[in-house]
Amino acid sequence: MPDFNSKDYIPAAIRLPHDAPPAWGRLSRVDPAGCALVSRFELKEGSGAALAFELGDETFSDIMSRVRSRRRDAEGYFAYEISFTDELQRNNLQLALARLAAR
Amino acid sequence: MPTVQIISSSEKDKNILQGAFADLGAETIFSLDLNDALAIFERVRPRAVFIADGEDPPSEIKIREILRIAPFMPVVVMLKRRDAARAVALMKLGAFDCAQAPWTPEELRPLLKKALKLSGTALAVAPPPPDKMRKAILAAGALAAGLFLFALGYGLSQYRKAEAARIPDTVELPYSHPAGIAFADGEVLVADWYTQSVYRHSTADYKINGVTSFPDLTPVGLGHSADNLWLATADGRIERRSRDKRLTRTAAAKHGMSALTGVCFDGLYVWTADGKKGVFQKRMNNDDLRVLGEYPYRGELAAFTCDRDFLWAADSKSGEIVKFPLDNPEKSAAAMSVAELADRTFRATALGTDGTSVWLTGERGGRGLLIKKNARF
Repeated sequence: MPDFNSKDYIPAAIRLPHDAPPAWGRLSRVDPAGCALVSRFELKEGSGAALAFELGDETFSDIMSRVRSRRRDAEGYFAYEISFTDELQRNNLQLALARLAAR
Repeated sequence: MPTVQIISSSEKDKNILQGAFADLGAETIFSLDLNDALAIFERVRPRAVFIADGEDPPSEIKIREILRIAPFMPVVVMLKRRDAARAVALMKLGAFDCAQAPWTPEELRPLLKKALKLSGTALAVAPPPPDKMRKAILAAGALAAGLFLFALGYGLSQYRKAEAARIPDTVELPYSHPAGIAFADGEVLVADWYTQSVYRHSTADYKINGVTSFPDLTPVGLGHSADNLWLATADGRIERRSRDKRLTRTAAAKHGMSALTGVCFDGLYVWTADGKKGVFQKRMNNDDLRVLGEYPYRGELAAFTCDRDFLWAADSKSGEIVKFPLDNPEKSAAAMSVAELADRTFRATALGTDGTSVWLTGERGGRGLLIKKNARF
């Protein structure tokens, strides 16, 4: 489970379904297929969410996601494994990560 | 019991938070505002700082100033309502996380536990205990060398005490764009245009005693008198401010210069300098700072100040600090070479004098510097 102790973890806003108030957390890992999200807000396994975050100079919003798994740590935070569900968004993310890696 | 510092000016919030953190097993130290918090920060040494959002100065400035002094301090902002956009924005600025209202023990518990886990990292590993043989050898060796080491250690400690007591002449500031220097109440005040703040430093050890932030203006110069401070702003004004905690503005006037290089008070008149035109200006000490006279300066004027006897100019071309008598500002009285001014990697930004020393600020390699020189030359 990633530990929440790095300033490099990317702040992310989490839009939840059914008009639930938005939450927030940090991404400890991002790849084109999904990400690892750490948050103290509880999301159910299998539930959907839309993430917004920045990678380098690029802003990503409404990235359609689904919670694949979750674990709760000793402090009460949740570590989620998230899958990105929209293929077009996954492709865009892949290009952005490639650009970042090339710098 | 871990200590947590809370910055909140609300008595009602204080009562709520005191109870909530007590339930969570944490001792709380309350500060009314950022200046209070920074003043006691070193002494209190909290494990985490919790900031009540929506108070003056904004949480963005509080986060910045706390992390400037303690870059690894977990800073949690307690929002007045659940606002994901604001939480993300604050986290981008360095907040560890944000709490939503209401600030109950259930809401604060995971934040506090995570913050305490993050802070207090061990800095050294305890050495393994020596075995018996090693102990015996060490004891014998220590006995033989004991007298010699005692004499050496005593001499070294005396030398180190003397060195530690000496205040360095050049100090690296915890901010990078110093723009003005003034003196008040035994402290050195330095304005930084990038952080839009005035920092109060102790003259004994240069520690920051307090910060006043100006979110609505960019300070580019600073001067002082017995009762007032003069703050030059990037939008072409000079403001007179009282020397209270908040540096309350009492007057403001447009100075009309293209490149203000300094503002100061000689006890009777306000002086300004224009580095681009190469002039000193003598002004009435009134609300509109009317110009009474202009005196040319032949050189590269990088910074300027004055006191009751002289005008002082830092010249980046000649690499000198030059002083001019007040009654004859066109003829220099003396000059002193300053290595930093001749150094092309150093950019002088402000000059100040407290009567016995001349103080220079500048930038080198992305760092802000404060340099003290003897004024008696």
